[in-house]
Amino acid sequence: MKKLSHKLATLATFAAASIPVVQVHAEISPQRMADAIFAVIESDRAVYTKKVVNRLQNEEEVITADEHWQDEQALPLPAQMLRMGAEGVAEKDLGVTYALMSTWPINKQNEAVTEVEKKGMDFIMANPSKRFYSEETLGGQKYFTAVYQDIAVSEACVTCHNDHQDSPKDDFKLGDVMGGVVLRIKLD
Amino acid sequence: MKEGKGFGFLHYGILVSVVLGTIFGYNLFYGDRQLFLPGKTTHGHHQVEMQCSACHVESFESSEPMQQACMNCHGESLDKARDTHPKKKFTDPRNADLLANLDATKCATCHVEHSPEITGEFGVTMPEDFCFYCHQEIGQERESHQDYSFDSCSDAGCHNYHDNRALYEKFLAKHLDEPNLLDNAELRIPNAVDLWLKKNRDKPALQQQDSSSDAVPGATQGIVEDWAQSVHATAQVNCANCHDSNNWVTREGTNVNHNISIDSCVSCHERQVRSFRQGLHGMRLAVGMPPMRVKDARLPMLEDAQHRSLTCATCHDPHKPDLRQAATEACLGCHSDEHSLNYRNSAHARSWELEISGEAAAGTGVSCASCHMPRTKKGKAVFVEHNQSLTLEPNSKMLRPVCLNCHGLEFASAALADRDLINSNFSYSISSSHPSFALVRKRLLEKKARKQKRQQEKN
Repeated sequence: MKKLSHKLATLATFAAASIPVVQVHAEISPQRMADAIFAVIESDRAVYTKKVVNRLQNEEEVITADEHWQDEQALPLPAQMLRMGAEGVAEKDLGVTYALMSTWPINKQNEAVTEVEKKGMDFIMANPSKRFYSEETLGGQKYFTAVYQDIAVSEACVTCHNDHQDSPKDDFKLGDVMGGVVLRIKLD
Repeated sequence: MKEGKGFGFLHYGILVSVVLGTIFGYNLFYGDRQLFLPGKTTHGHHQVEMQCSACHVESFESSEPMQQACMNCHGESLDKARDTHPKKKFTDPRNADLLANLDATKCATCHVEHSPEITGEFGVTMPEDFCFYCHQEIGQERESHQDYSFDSCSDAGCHNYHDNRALYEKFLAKHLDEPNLLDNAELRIPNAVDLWLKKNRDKPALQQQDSSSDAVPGATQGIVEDWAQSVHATAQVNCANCHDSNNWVTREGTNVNHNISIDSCVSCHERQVRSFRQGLHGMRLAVGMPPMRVKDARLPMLEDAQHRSLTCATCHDPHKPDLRQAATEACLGCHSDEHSLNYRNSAHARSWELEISGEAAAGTGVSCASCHMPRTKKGKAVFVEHNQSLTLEPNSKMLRPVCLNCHGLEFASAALADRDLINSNFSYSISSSHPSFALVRKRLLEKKARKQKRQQEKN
């Protein structure tokens, strides 16, 4: 029995080696790709915010989340978690970048910067159920740019932003659009 | 006459070309390459300026290999410093306009080498108000900053471009109102030998008769006696462990292998040698050059130390290792700048004398090494950092690993912002107030008022 399975395994290996690799020529639109990437970002962030930060900091009160998480032996803030991920993706130089921005940022560097970002922020705030898509040229390079709503998914988001000394807005509620995620795909 | 007329312009041209070619060629391949230096290098790089390929890795066509060379040497320390402006923060295309003004993804944007006429503190070649490029609205964002000019951001140790671990608001708030000298002022004690002894209880110290000095030509009775009393004999390190066939070069005449200490020491003292190579004392070894020579230093050095080269054995006599001697006497055996010369009259020196005489507890004295070679803890091991550059410039880098072991943050920050006080080796009293802390106190009051207002609105 053992010999037979060994033979089958060897046969399978030869068969696999003899099958040519199938070249897939299907294309995916930048918008669909951007939506798919955002789905991953949004889901991961929501899981981290609800199941890690909100649970451990606000419900079970066993650890805090803090901007200076290394010094405070605390959890990174959800916004920092997203940014660290974005920096990791940017370092891979795959032509995909994303960032958090807001009309009421705690750090003013996170306001909408480009014209498309500004239009996108205005659009998603005015149309909370719609996404914004556009193209822009930055630094001589053309990009497909999508802007998505960043929604307060847990009490942790609301409390932290309302209480923060540098927050320009202190009346956020659960489910509010607190800002946006801008995602860019480099176009050839 | 005809022959003389034949030796004309062309011949002179060829002759001059050959002479110049020979001079430049000799200087490039056999000489000191000084003719090829486009300008005086910064104090951070001058020791390795003749190893052109250390920075100019391949060619001058692309800046990327040079950027990588910067990171090869400085990347680890920037990570340790939790660099507040790393390249990865700026690569998002939304920063394209900012980068067009100031390309923060390249070290050489702010640190141009060979340009002494525009080089300021810390090897920065940008105008002092460069923060303006990205933070021009700080005056509106922070009312407290309205009156500060953009060339004063790093004055008095308020902000650094890279390392702000001891300068951020929450850290200052946590350390408000600390006494100048803490009640529990004490440094960690290096414990490598203790840890070794704990692990090797069954191994008795080697004695004179155990020495493998027969394998070492030129070993004297005195050297063997010193070794038998040393921590090396305690830790079972015998003559042949260092003087093996690869490393040993006879001491007859002056033919002593300068690298013997580095190559031998690294097998047991890996972390120390690694950090030594990262610092100003060992950086030449890291790029494949001979050890640094005291006579090449730009800082003032003692006349009778000019002949020395910097290896482990310069500060640590391998046959008679003495950490106390290495912590002050070794430093003061070469350095003769104002700060060093004033050490012996300082309060720090008095505390060190009390510690080594046994009148004060271990860890309460302050030697040169206490501040410039901080003791860092990893797990149970307390290790002496041999890369002085990690805490040297800007000097606020010294606050957390060094000063805060004994002093309050505001007092220490004020002291490090006072150049005269540093030159005097902290030999006179100062006011312990620092402008950053006044701002933090004000911010805390504002925070409290905001909280109260929100509470009232809720009620």
